[in-house]
Amino acid sequence: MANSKVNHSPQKPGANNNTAAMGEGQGSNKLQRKWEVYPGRNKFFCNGRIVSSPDIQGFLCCMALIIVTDCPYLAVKVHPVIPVVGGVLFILIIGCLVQTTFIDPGIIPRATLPEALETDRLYQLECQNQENAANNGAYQPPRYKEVMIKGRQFKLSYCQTCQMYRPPRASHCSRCNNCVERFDHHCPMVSNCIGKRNYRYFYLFVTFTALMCCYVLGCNVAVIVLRAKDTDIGEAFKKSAGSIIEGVICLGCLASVGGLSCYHSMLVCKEQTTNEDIKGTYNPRKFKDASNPYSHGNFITNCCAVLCGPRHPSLIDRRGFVDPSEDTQAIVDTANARGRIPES
Amino acid sequence: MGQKMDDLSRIPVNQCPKVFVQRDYTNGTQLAFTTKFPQELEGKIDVQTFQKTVTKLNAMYEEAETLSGKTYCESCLACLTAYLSYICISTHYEQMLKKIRAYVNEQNQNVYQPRGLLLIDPVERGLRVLEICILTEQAGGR
Repeated sequence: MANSKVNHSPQKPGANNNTAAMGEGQGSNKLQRKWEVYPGRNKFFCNGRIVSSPDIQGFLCCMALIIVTDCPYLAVKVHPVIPVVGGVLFILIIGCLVQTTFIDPGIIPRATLPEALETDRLYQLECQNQENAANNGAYQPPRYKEVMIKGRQFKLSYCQTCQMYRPPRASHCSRCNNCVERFDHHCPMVSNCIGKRNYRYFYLFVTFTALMCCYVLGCNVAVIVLRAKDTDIGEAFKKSAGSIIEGVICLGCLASVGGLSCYHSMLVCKEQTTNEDIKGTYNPRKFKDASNPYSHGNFITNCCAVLCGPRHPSLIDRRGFVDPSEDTQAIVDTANARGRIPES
Repeated sequence: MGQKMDDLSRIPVNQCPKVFVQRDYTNGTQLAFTTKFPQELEGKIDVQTFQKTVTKLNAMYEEAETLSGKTYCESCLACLTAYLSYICISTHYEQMLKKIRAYVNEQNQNVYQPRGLLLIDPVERGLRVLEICILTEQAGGR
C-alpha cells in the first residue's frame, strides 16, 4: 500500500508539552489548555478567560491614580448629585479600563505548520518563475505579497514570527510577540495592545477620563470660589489646599489625556489607526495618490463603524484543550520541516 | 468520482494534503475568501459546487459584519450596562458564526465528505484561510 506517510511534525524539544512522542499520547492524564502552550508573550488569568500584555504594572499604576485622585474628593463633597455624577463617571472609567486591558485586542493566531509550508512553497515557486536562471536553488524566505484593495495596490508583509502574510491594517507587536488586527499601538499604561477588538473601550476610557478630569477640576474651582465668597480669598486657599493639589493633578492629567482624546477623536472620524497616521500610509503628500480605502466617506458613519460596530469574537482559542496527537505551535520551523519532507 | 467506499485509503486529518483558500482583500478588511478554484481540487469536485460554498460563506460573513441598527443597539446596550450584557446575550456576530459552523457541517456531510474532502471551519484557523483536507488518495497512486 503506497500510503504517503508524510511527517508534517518536527519534534520540538523545548516545547512546553509534557506528552510523550507522537502516537503515544494516551499515557498523559493531564490535558493542557491552549493558553498554557500559547507561543506569544501575553499573560493569561482566570484559566484563560482574561488576556493582557506581559507587563501589568502600567495597568496597576493607572488604577491607583484613578482611585487616589477621585475617592477623597467624592468623600468630601456634600452636595448629593455631584458625587453621584462623579461615581457614575468613575464606574464607566474603570469598566472601560478593565475591558481595554483584559480582552484580546484582536490577536491573530499563528499559522499552522501546513499553512506555513504552503506559503513557503508558493513563494519559492513564484521566485523561480520570476527570476528563471538567476538565483536558482538559493532559498529566499517570503517577504511580501501585493494585493488590490478597492482598486489600490497594497503590500502585505510576511511576518517571520507568525509565519503568515499579515492582513491589511494588522501589525506585529514586539512586546506581546504576536500580530494584532487593526493594530493601533501598544499602550503600557493599560498593559495591552490596542487593536480591533478593544479600540472602542480604549477610546471611551480616554474620553471619560478627560471628562472626569474636567469635571473634577471644575468642582475644585467651584469649591475655592464658593469658599472665597464666605471668607476672604487667603482663608479659602488655606482651607482648600487639598482641592488645589487635586486641581493641579487634574490639570496635568487633562493636558495629556485630553490631548490624547482629541487625537483619537480625529482618528475615529477619519477611520485611521495611530500606526497608519504615524507612518503616513494614506497621506497624499507622502505617497502619491494615497487615500484611505477603509473610510466610509463621512465622519458620522466612520464614528459609528469604529465605536458601535459589531464586536468581533476572539480568534485565539484560549480555553480549548491541546490535542496531544498534534504538534504544538511553539515555533513553526519551516526550514527544518522542509528538510524532513521527502520531495515527491 | 466513481470510487467505491471499500477501496478508499483514508489518510488521518493531521497528515493529509491540504488546500488553502486565501482571504480576498479586494473589498478591504471585510471577511471574504477568494472564489478562485484551486488546482489541487480538480477532478475531486466541480467548480460550481466549490464556488457556491465559498460565495455562501462570504455572504454569511458579510451579514455578520454589517453595520445595521441591530449592531448599533447591541453596542449601545453593552455600553450602558457596563458591558455586562455580553455575558448574558450572544452578539449577532457570534450567532452568525454558529450558523456558519452549522453550514460547514452540513456541506461536509452532504457535499464534501462523499467526495473525500473535508472543509475546516475558518474560525479554527483564525479566519486566515479556508482549509480543505483531501482525505482520500486515488487507488493506484501516481
